[in-house]
Amino acid sequence: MSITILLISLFSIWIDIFLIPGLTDIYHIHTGIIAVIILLIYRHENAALFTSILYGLFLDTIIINVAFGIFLLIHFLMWLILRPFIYNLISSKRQSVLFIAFISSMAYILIFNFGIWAGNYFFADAEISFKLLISFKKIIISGVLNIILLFFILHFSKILIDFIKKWVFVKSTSRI
Amino acid sequence: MDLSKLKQKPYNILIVIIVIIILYNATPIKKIFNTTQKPLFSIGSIFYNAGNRINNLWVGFTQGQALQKKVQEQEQIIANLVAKNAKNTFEDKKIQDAEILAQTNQTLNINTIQAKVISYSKLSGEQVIYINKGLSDGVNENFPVITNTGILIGKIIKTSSNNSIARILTSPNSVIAVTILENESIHSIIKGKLGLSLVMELIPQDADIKVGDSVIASILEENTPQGLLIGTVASIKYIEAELFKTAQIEPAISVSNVSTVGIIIP
Repeated sequence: MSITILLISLFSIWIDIFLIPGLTDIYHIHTGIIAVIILLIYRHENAALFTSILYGLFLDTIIINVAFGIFLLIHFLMWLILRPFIYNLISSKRQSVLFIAFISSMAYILIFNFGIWAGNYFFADAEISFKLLISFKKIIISGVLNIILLFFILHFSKILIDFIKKWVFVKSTSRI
Repeated sequence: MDLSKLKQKPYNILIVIIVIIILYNATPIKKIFNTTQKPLFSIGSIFYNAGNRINNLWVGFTQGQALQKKVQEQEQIIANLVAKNAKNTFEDKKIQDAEILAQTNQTLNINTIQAKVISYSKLSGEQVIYINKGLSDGVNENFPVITNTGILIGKIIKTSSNNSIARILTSPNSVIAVTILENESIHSIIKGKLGLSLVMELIPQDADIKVGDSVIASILEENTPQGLLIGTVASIKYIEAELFKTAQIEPAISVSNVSTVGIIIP
């Protein structure tokens, strides 16, 4: 399980910080938090906590122009907030998974950017405008992109795993 | 799952996080994090290139690959010509004065390190590029970053042992001292605007500045050789009651298309 958590965090970082900026310089996708939301929805509380912390730690290691520890604290705080929030939404039984993910993603974008702004404001000489980091449009677009990605992950992961299993199986038997 | 343990866990984890932050800032543990950066960046670079290729494929699919290639070639030719023209004119002008010539020779004799762009990010609120050269290669903070054609695109703001982060000129916190190639008596500053364009500020109202003029790095800019091209004047905003006028500057090159850069060692 710990290797799975490490791999989830690593691939989230590579997707969010490298693959997506290579694709577009306009939008951000936060795969790391999608993984945390999925893990929380399916009640893998510890896995969600460690994924969140590792993801924050990797962000701190890579984004060196933000004071070390800011992302770690943001992601720990996110886990603290998302855990009761998601559990309350699930317990109401009237909310769909996508709705929960959408609200959670928007909350994440808000806290993530507020954390960056606060970190820059208190620990760096470069001050970033709060308006530049957080806008209504940015929050909505990021929320929508996150639920699209979540939708694909939830609906196609099983199909993909089955396909890979079948492919590997066919390959291995063909060798025999 | 034992929920009673989890109730206690957040505080323990918070303590661990605080200890990590203290250790990072107070002990050599920072070096371990710097070491882990290298594989993260190396593999990340593959992802970034893959993203770029997918993007190129998509653009090719939607807009026609041949057209895109032709536009890129033309853009590169224009950038080369503009840079060459700026350099030649700048050098020609300086040759006229023997005293300044010595200074020009000294400033144009730049020493650069070639570096690869690993990624491009706006995540921290700043528009930055990640570069695969760091302190061990002699790169330090505040060193200028240029394209292969000699266009100034940013400055190094943070370095680790193997990597660096450069703030792009269009980033909100970027401020560079500049002058106009056609009228070097004008000294002004350019600031990044919303990560999209450049604004030239503090231009005296009586300054002779026209649309199409080339904006170059000023001698007042720290660590930066005078004459490096930045962009061209796109529009000028003049308000009668104000002391200064402002100009919109069109950057000479789009940074998202740059894959290799040069870092000037002063």
